[in-house]
Parts: sequence; C-alpha cells; structure tokens
Amino acid sequence: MPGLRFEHVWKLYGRQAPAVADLSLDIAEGEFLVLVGASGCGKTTSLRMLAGLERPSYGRIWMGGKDVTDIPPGRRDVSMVFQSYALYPNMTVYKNLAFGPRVRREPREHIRRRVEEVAEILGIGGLLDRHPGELSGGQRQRVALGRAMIREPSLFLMDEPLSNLDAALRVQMRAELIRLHKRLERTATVYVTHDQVEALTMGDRVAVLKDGSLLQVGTPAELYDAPATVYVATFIGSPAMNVIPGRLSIVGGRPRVACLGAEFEVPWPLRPGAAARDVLVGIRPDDLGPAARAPRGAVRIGGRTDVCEQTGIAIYATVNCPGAALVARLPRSPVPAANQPIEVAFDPRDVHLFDSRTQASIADRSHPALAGVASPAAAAPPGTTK
Amino acid sequence: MTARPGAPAPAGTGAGAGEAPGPAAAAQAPGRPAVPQGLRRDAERFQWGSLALLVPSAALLAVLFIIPVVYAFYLGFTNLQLVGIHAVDWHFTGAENLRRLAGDQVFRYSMELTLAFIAGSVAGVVIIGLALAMLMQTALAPVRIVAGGIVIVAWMMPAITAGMTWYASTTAGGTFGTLLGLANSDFLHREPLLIVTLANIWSQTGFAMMVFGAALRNIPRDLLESAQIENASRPQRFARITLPLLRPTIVTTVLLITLISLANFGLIYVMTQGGPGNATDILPLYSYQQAFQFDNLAYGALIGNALVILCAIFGAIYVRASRSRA
Ligand SMILES: Nc1ncnc2c1ncn2[C@@H]1O[C@H](COP(=O)(O)OP(=O)(O)OP(=O)(O)O)[C@@H](O)[C@H]1O
Ligand SMILES: [Mg+2]
Repeated sequence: MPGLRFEHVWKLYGRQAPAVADLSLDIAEGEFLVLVGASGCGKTTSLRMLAGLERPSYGRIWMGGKDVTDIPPGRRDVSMVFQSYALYPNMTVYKNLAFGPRVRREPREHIRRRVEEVAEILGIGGLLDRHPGELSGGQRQRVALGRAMIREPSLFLMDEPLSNLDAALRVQMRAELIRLHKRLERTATVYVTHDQVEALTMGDRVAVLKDGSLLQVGTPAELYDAPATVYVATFIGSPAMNVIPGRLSIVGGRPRVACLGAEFEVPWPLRPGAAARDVLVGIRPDDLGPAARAPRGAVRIGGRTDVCEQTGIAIYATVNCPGAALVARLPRSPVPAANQPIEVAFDPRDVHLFDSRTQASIADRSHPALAGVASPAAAAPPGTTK
Repeated sequence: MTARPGAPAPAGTGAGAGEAPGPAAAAQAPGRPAVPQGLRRDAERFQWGSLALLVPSAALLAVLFIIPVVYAFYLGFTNLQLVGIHAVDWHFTGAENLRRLAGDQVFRYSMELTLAFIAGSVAGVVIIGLALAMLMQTALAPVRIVAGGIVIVAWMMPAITAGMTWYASTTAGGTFGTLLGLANSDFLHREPLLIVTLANIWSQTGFAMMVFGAALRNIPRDLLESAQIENASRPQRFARITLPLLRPTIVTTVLLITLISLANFGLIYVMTQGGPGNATDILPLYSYQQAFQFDNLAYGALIGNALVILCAIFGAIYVRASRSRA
C-alpha cells in the first residue's frame, strides 16, 4: 500500500509564478521525508496541500491508497506543526496541548497524563499555566511541537519545528523526534527545514525544491554524493560546494577536465552522450585540503589565502586562485595568515561535473570508478556512499 | 552554527555547546549581584507638563458636559416646571421628587420596558451582526458587496426615516401584513415593544456587522486551520477559538449598542410616542414626556438622572467583563 503520493500537483496563486509546479512524489508508509529549498520555494504550500488546508490547482493527492484531494483536513488524520506556531492565544499551554484530545473527547485523566508526558519530553512542564503571549520564541515553538506530538496520526507535517531553538536543545529535540518517528512505525513524517544537519541526519530521504519544482529526491548520501544539478550540489552541504568553470575533453575514450590551469582525468563514467564541452567543476570544501597531505595522484592548485572561518575542529579558508576563489578545509592549526601563498589539492575522484548550459550532472557518480567506459543507464543501488 | 554534513550525528554541535556554561556561569555562582535600591528609572511618573495639554479639553468637557450634568442632577431635586408659576419661582425641594418617583408605577413599568428593550436589542444586534459578519467572510465578493451595502444603508438611515418606514410597514394595511396576507393585522399595536425592538435591531445591526467583520479579519487564519486539522467541528471552532478571541470586541459592541439604543429616542418617538398606553414608554421617552408634555421639568430631570445612573451601571459591568480573562 503506498503511503502518500503527489500526482502532478500544481498550486497557483493569482498571476504570480506557480508556488508548486508539477510536483510528483511518493512517500512511503513510515518514511521520514525532509523537504528543503530556498525561502519561497513552495515547502509550506506543499505541506498545506497534504494537510488539506490548500486545494491543489491541478493534480491529485493520495494517502494510503485513497484519493484525498477533496477530503477536508480533519478527516485526513494528520497533525501539523505550523511555521507560525498557531498557538491559541486565549488558552494556557495546558489547554493548547489538550485541545485536540478534548475535541476528540478523550477521557480527562488520559488527556492529563498525555499532556504531562509530552510537556516533560519537551521541557515545558513548568509552563503549563502560562498563556502563549508569556513565552519566549523557543518555548512557543516547543508548545507547537507538543500539540502535534500529543497525537498518533498517520502523518506528521512539520514546518521548521526546531528553527527557534538553541543548538543544544535542537540536538535534543531532534533525537526526540526521531525516537517518536521510530516508535510510530506506520506514521510518515514530512519535515521542512533550512538546517543542513537536520536535513541530512534526520531524513530517510531528502527532497530539494526550487521555485515550486522538485529538483531531486534521494537519500542524504545520494544527494550529497551525486547531486543531479549545480543547484542541489551547492544547496546541500555546508560550506557550499566550490563550482568552477572548466573544459571537458575526451582523450582516448577517457574524460579529461581542464580547469584552474590544471588538467586531470575524471575516474567516473560519463552519462551517455557526453562529449567535449564547457563544464562546471564542483569540489566540496571538505574534499579540498592542504597539498602537503594530499595523496599521490591529487590535483594541486596554488593560490593565496584570504578569509578564514574557524569552526573549532577545522578552518574553512578562502583561497584566491587564478580565475576563482575556492573554499578549502585546513587543519585547525596553524591558522594561516592572510594573503599567504598556499597550495591546495583534491582527489579527481571527488570531483563533480555539470554541463555548464543545462546545469545537470554529467559524471555518473553513483557508479564505482571504472575505466572510462560510458556507463549503462542503470539505476544506482540506494545508499551508495563514497 | 556550523553544519557539516560530512560529519553528521549530534556531535557536530559539540564545539560550541560545550563551552557555553563556562566562565559566565562561574562568575554568577558565588552570590548574585544585589538589586540596586532607590527610584527606578522605568517607574511610572506624573508628568506636570501633561496638565497644560489637558487644560483645553478639560475646559470644554466642563462647560459642555460636566456642568450641565451636575446642573441637571440638581434640577432633579427642585420643583421647576416648564410653564406656570414654578417656571419662574422654583426652589430646592429635597427628597420630594424621590418620594414621588418611588411611588410612580409608570416609572417602574418604564424601567422594566427599558431593560427588556436593551436586552432584546443588544442580543439581537450582536447575534445577527455576528452571524452576518461571519457569513460575509465566506461570501463571494459580489454577494458581500451588495448585502453589506444594504445593511450599512439601514444603519446610516436617520432615525426618523427608519421609524417612519417601520411604522408604515407594521401598522394595519402595512407592507408586512399585506405580504403575509394579513392586511388588517396591526402588528405595531399588538406587539409594540417587540416591533420597536426589532426596528432598533434593524437599524443598529449594520454597525455591529462592520465592527465584527473587522475583528474576524484580525483572527489569524492559522489558528482556525490548526483546529480544523484536529477535526474540531465548526461549532467547536466557533466556541473555543473565534468567540474567545472576539470577546473584547463583543463587550465593546454591547456597551456601544446599549448606549446608542438608549439614545435612539427618535425611532420610538416616531413609531409610537411611547404608546399605545405606556407599552413602549422606555426611560428616555418617559423623561421627555414628564418634562415637556406634562411640564414637570424637574421630575423629568430626575428620571433622566436615573437613566444616567443606569447607563453608568451598565458601563461598569461591561468594563469588568472586558477585563476578566476567559
Ligand atoms: N496565500 C498565498 N497567496 C499568494 N501567494 C502565496 C500564498 N502562500 C504562498 N504564496 C507564495 O507561494 C510561494 C511559496 O510559498 P511557501 O510559503 O510555500 O514558501 P516556503 O518554501 O515555505 O518558504 P519559507 O522557507 O520562507 O517558509 C511564495 O512565492 C509565496 O509568496
Ligand atoms: Mg514556509
């Protein structure tokens, strides 16, 4: 039985560009799907259509094998954390949490136990008598989360539920949410976030939206290792992937790339039909390190250090090379002085290749590195990590 | 916060989080700093300069409102008449008028009529106004504009016009009777208080509808949506969310409708002049009758005073109601 399905769903508002454009996506029962994308790309709109608060302009939505496109929100068995929290200002925290169970006429004693349980998990047990207006932003957000958690629906919709929490609390809540999701085996979760760590650590799969369109959906590892477009490549991962113009040529049946004054052979098979052309070369900062530590066969590039960003376990340094500025990951000490000559290096296996016109990936990184044979267009085994 | 997908797991935040409760907490631990004593900078203070700004409006209020009210209050305890000897030669008579009031059956009756009229009007205006406002929210734009226009025209209509219209519609041979095929039924004569109250409701509802419409638009949509997701029925959403959030608006509207209805003298005067008999003789009309038809200016003033006190009581009740929390 399929869990959830968007079938060619569109949402149009007035004359502006579509908020959601031709979205087709399957979400399995019990799956944790993370939706990511820049602000205004249609994440909230998609969630609202799943909840039934917004009717698709075109297309259908399926849940548990049933067409729910015209079914009202209350009959879809979903619970939702609103991006705006949507706490009832006239009720105390307790009553906010108890609202759903009360509406469903659950026994009083049972409600009280559930509310206390959830409040305990979220660390808001001491706030039950306050009104939402008397809470901090993070406290409100936890109440909003609690209101969704108090139920055991068949679908959780969470619109940036942790965005306002401090780092420590966020880690803790993340763990709680995963625990909750694991406990409710059949409940699917659709989770919107702007946080890279959340997206890549929590999701069974991650879907990247841009301007209302689904660009790519896959496991976190797939998105990280084999982004389908430049947009996904730079959107997933932090700091963002370095993207530099280069030139692809096929020499003796093997792809060779020239960029930044260096030339190297790409060990990945190209997608069918790839020929010599202008390309964009992507290298993640984490794959670009000091040349001194690089293995044999690494491509070395000289430049001068610029801004350094200390993260505690490493330094992300901007290196000005002729023709491009690259971000490289350096050991946390010694801290490089500004404008120092430096040589960085990367392994050609870590390179991503994109067509500079279509922005689409042309190196098939889902396959293990083979000799330069054009790849058969077979599906990748899921979960391939590097 | 740094987010490195290469190194997932919660450990990613360890760097920052571990340091947070370090030196700062240590400095706080051995005894917090004492709270300073003395005058607080943020204490509320009387600003003498504000007196100067208050003077003009205070003067206007005094001349146009306070002095007349106090004077009218005083008049209530005299034997002033509109015509006759006591129009010129009048004096303070102490509790004489009060004694008369206490024994005045018409006054008692008038008081009951007033309460019934107010209760009926307020309930009708609030319920119908709120219902209209909620219907308008979901109506298509053309319906909304036309229906809203009609209701507002009714509200803008002068009391005289409204009164004449209702009079013409509800007396024998009037529009309502004809429409219902009861051409000879004189509704106004048979149920005067009811008809007068209905006329008042009709003329005030537009105002309530506009006020409630504005308040409804201010209720965040996501609150109702959130309740909808919880499968709360329409009545549940109304009772648990809309109504509590509208409460302050309802209280204010109730107060305003009370006062406006009491001041809607013209409407009833045109329709019944307090009759038939004393059947619609609410306090403002009775006060007017005593003062200007029976020439008892002083006694009329005393009835007016009773009306003012009644209004003050209503006001106090509403103010209390708007303060307390649901
Ligand atoms: N009710 C509405 N009327 C008109 N336009 C809307 C409405 N709701 C959303 N939009 C538009 O649709 C697009 C998608 O909005 P949506 O709220 O889904 O974005 P989002 O991905 O959730 O963004 P964010 O990350 O900022 O929350 C935006 O361009 C927005 O302006
Ligand atoms: Mg959003």
